[in-house]
Amino acid sequence: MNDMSYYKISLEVAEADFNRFCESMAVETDLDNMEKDTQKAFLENKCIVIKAMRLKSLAVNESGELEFTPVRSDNKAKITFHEPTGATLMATDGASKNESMKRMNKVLADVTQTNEKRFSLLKLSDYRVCLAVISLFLV
Amino acid sequence: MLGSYIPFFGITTTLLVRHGVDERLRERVVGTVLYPGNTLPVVYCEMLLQVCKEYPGLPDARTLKLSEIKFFYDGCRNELKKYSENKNG
Repeated sequence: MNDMSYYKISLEVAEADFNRFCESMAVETDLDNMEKDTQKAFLENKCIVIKAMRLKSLAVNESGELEFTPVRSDNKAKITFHEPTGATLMATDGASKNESMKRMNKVLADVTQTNEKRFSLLKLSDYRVCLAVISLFLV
Repeated sequence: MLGSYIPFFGITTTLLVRHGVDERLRERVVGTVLYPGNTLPVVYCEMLLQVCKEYPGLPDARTLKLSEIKFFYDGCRNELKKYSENKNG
């Protein structure tokens, strides 16, 4: 299959958008500063994000924030990822450490200024993209 | 499902000041309690508390972005190093 018939955006454009997002959201991109596990995770997440950008489900807006349009889920309303704040750190206070998905959804809800239910109703492939985006904020 | 990802609660590259130097926290078990390593919530919660203490004029701490928390913490990093260094050598 021809690469450009599947993807809607070229790799170079998607990478430029990704760099613009990292710069405006103060996302650490220097692999030398990261531990081995973090490096691997960062590169995996970057791949997922760039692929979603090339498929046009993920885009960088004027403020440098990522906007995700779910592909497979019923609710296709746009989800905007803002930079995490002090409130994001406090969002997980109510959830026990063993409830990892609940904690993750609380973080996602705070960062996107939506509610947890929005993420529990997402299809797995859409949720995966959201997880990849939030994982990039390990500044 | 999270598999090989390190989600939001994973290891961060930002370091805290300990004993006069920037230090990466290591995961350790004391008794039955597991203390996580240099994870984002642990590091940034401590930075946020320190920043609130050092800069009383800051706006609502909940509105501070992670990059702002880091910026303000970096501002008092040298002072923290000075006061936390081990005087016994």
